[in-house]
Amino acid sequence: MDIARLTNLLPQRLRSQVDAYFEAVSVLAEIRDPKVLRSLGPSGLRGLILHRGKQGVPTKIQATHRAHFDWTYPADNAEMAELYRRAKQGQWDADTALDWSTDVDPLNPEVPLLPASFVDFDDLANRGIRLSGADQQRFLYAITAWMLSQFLHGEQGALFAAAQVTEAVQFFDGKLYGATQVMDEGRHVEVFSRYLDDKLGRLYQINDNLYVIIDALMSDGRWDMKFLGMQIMVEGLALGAFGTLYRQTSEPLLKSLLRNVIQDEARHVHYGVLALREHITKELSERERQERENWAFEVALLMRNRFMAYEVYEEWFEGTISRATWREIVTSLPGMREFRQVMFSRLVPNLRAIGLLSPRILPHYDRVGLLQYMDGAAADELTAEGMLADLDRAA
Amino acid sequence: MLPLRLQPSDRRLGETLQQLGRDLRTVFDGWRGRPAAPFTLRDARAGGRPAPAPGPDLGAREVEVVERIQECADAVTLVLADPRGGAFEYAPGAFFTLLLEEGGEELRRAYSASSIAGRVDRLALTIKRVDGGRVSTYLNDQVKVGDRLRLLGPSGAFTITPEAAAARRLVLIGGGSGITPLMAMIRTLLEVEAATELALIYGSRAPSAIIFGEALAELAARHAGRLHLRLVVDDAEGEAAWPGGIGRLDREGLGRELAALPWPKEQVDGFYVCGPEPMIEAARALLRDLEVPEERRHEERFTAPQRRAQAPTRARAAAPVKIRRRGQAEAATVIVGPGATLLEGARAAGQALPFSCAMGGCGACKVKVIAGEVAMDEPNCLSAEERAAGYALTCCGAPVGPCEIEVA
Ligand SMILES: Cc1cc2nc3c(=O)[nH]c(=O)nc-3n(C[C@H](O)[C@H](O)[C@H](O)COP(=O)(O)OP(=O)(O)OC[C@H]3O[C@@H](n4cnc5c(N)ncnc54)[C@H](O)[C@@H]3O)c2cc1C
Ligand code: FES
Ligand SMILES: [Fe+2]
Ligand SMILES: [Fe+2]
Repeated sequence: MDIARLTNLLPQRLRSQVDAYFEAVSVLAEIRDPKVLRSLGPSGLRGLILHRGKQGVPTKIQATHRAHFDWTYPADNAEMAELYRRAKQGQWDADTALDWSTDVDPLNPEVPLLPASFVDFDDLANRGIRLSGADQQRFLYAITAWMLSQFLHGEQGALFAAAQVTEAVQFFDGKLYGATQVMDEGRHVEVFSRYLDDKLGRLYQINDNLYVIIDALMSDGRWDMKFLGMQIMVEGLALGAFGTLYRQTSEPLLKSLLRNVIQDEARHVHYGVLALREHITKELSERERQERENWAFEVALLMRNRFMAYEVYEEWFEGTISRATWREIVTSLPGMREFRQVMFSRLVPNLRAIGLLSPRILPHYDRVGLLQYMDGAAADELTAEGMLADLDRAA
Repeated sequence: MLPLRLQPSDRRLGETLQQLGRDLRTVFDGWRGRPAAPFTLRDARAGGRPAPAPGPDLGAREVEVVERIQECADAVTLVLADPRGGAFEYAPGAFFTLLLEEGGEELRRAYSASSIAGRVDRLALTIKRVDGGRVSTYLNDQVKVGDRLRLLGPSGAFTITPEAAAARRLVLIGGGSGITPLMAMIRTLLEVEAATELALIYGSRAPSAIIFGEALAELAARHAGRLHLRLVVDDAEGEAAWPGGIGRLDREGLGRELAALPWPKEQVDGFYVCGPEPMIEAARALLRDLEVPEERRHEERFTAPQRRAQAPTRARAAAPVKIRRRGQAEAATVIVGPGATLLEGARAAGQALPFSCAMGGCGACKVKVIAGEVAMDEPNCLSAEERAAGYALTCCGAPVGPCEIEVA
């Protein structure tokens, strides 16, 4: 069915709405594994159709996991104990570690939040959107604020997920480490919201697709699904996005903020790889393993294809261009291309390391062009310093 | 007796139903082309609390109805207080704008304060029922003590600045609900300006329709000789001993009343007129004939654009609007979305513009249109001269296409 032809007959506001629903349905229709559909479907409905994250009131999500107590306090995982030790050393105080007196002018072209090359303004002009110099600056400001807002929403998800995972995980050393991650995520919420409040002055609503992922892993009772979703997928997404912004921004406060956050996040992904590798390769049945493999692939696709910044579209172009045109624009933004590249070069090796890239799924990754990232280093083979050095070198 | 308590399961059910309601509203809003605002403004000075939301919400404050006073069959006074303990600060004669939702549409209506002015904890608005009126009937019949309302203001230029040392003689001419701002003037000036004298000429349909009848009589008795009351009714309703005047306050009736004032017109420091359009017209003609200088004549009309979204071009498409601020080289451009006023669009994009009543009644949001065209809801308070000079009101105006405005 040619959706564009169909919707063109409708009045503008209906057209946008039909497009949005059609997109929601196609996200779910693309999921082949019925088990994965069952786990993502309800979250998809709550996020994409009901916009639960945008209703203007706090969202309640029922948690169903079980807390795992152990009254013998075993020293059961040396690698996690080592991560715990490093995490204690690596704590930082946002009040003193960052220079909050930095004067941030989001519209100052001398110190841009993002370089003009993040957006291909010539391509935009070819599509009939000609922005003046000042408007280009404002557009980049909107994109930056949108990205940072999504980081903040993601960090809230990470904070709660880290707390749940700390309850549910069966390694006692993992629980101690988990406590530091809860603190880390709390600090991330602190710094992103402070930066948005003090320096950028606006907060975008949570993106519906991000909401779907958070909703799915908060309401899934299986601890390893929470782990997989948060520690591998969302943290991988965050590392990709933080890395891109870190590399591109010229604003000194934002740069040092991201540098600090990236160092924490590198530990988080590392922990996820440690905990899941054992579990997935040793404890799960092959059918269970396959379900997680499929789930990870679907979520990876969701992350690759669906972060369309519709909130920015609604602010700038609703009524001027169609959602379909906007999708093309966002997909081809040079900055977004880099973001996907950084994200998957982190994510795919991690999936391989935890045993979720078996030969049966490889053709699917190949089909969507993600196989090229297969040979990178996984989080347990990579230090935060190494990761930052990569980014600094590319800058 | 056992106290009735909500069982946990009932509460869960209640929450589920509320969530269902929100879900349905969200879906419905989506189809009506009213998605949630894409972002909220953040104010660091407010400790990170969300700043007033962008979009149609203009940062109105929430107030609570703490008392209802039935003034007469057709008018009610709502006494309002700030649930967080804030004060109201306004001059006598000022009005406030109430923002109400009805069937998904936002209605904005101006109501003059009738309570004593200054810096006060309680604000009284007095609302006369208009037959078939959407807001005034709601406020008269439905609003209860404890309800919350959203409020903007104060606004308006029909005000007096009280000065304890002043000794003035003022003539107040009111008709129907037009008594409200005059009542605030009377209450405030009698209290604050010990040497000021007031004369009120107040026209009503009938004795039973007089608003503030008792309060006025009491004030006149308490401040003997300083408040001259002249109540005029169209029809005395068979009250044989009606002490006031009878007849309409048209050119003839009002002329009679003015001739009977306690002071010669030269000794009057100001005439304040508020009431129905024909009465205002009559007063204007009479005062002009009496050669009362312009600066001593003040009038307030209670008509304003009532139906939103009436500007013919509102709602079609988003348009870029350049906002130039006097004395600044660089102009900012905002996209005003379909259905939004200039003011709403600018605020949503983080651009502060001046405004007060948000309903075309005060002129605070006046800007100069440099290029393009702005269509306004009518009628509004812009004078013919201001229109001719290219001014527009952002609170009830929408861009017809790309345009450029200058803010003073
Ligand atoms: C500056 C200002 C101050 C005001 N102060 C007060 C006040 O203190 N007390 C008060 O009661 N009202 C006051 N008003 C009038 C008030 O804002 C509303 O217009 C009025 O309450 C009617 O609103 P509604 O929604 O009930 O009627 P609507 O639903 O808007 O209109 C219903 C019908 O009534 C007609 N109509 C609208 N307004 C009036 C009116 N004022 N008189 C007669 N017919 C009308 C309309 O043309 C329409 O046919 C003030 C207006 C302005 C501009
Ligand atoms: S704000 Fe009062 S007229 Fe526009
Ligand atoms: Fe984090
Ligand atoms: Fe994290």
